[in-house]
Amino acid sequence: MNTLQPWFSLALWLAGIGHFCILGASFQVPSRLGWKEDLAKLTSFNRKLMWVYAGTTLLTIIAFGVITLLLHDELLRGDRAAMFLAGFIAIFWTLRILVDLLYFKHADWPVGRQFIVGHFLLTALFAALALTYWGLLIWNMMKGIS
Amino acid sequence: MKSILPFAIQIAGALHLLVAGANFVLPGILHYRENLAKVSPIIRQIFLVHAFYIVLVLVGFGLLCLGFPHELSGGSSLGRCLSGFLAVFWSLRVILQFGFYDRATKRDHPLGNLFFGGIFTYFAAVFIAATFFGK
Repeated sequence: MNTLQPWFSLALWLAGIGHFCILGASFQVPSRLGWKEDLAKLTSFNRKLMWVYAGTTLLTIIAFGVITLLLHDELLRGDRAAMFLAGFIAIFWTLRILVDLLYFKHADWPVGRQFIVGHFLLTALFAALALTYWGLLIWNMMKGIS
Repeated sequence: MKSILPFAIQIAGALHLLVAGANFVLPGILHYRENLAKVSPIIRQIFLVHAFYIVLVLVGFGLLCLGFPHELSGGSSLGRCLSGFLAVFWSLRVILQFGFYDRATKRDHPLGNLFFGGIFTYFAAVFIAATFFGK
């Protein structure tokens, strides 16, 4: 079991950094999808609500990255609260993949090779993040059993 | 202060779930359907996904507060770090509630404004206390 520890340690460092890579894409979304023009059609309150929703989601992703990097050792050790957090982040990213597969209609997305490549890379990153936190959770549960 | 913090955090946990539940009523009150019909499909989808994620995050915070009140009140470095994040998160939300949203809408819904503003202020106060004055 302990032979996996260096791998999970590395995976957690990469996952922490990975969250900040998502920010790079997130900051481009409003301009690339023309939010300013589109959101102008909403009432002022709903427009502000959209910005607050987006900002809150962004803040949560930043927190996932910061917490993963700062509390790397606690996550690796598998404390109860750390495992709750790992489980929550795993669910967060798994649902994001499911939303992409089952809810977003890709015909509605802007066309162009850069969007296809960006979409593929982001989805791959979401999958890597989900796998890392699910793996960590399962590994720590197995450690507890053995 | 230290002895009541875990209890205050558990109350915050229950209130998080209440706010998550309130998010199911908001779309009707704020006329999401009529409003979102005006924007392009992709913006509509992103709006609804964000709204779903807000509920998910609120439920996550709620369960965290109900399940780990002692850790969040300074019982571990992880707990204190999470309380610090929740303090920042809710303090920003209080500023947005009182300084960013339209006054006219808040005047039209005074009880809703009081409900959300009051609860968010309570969250910010509890988690600031947990971050700086926890054991």
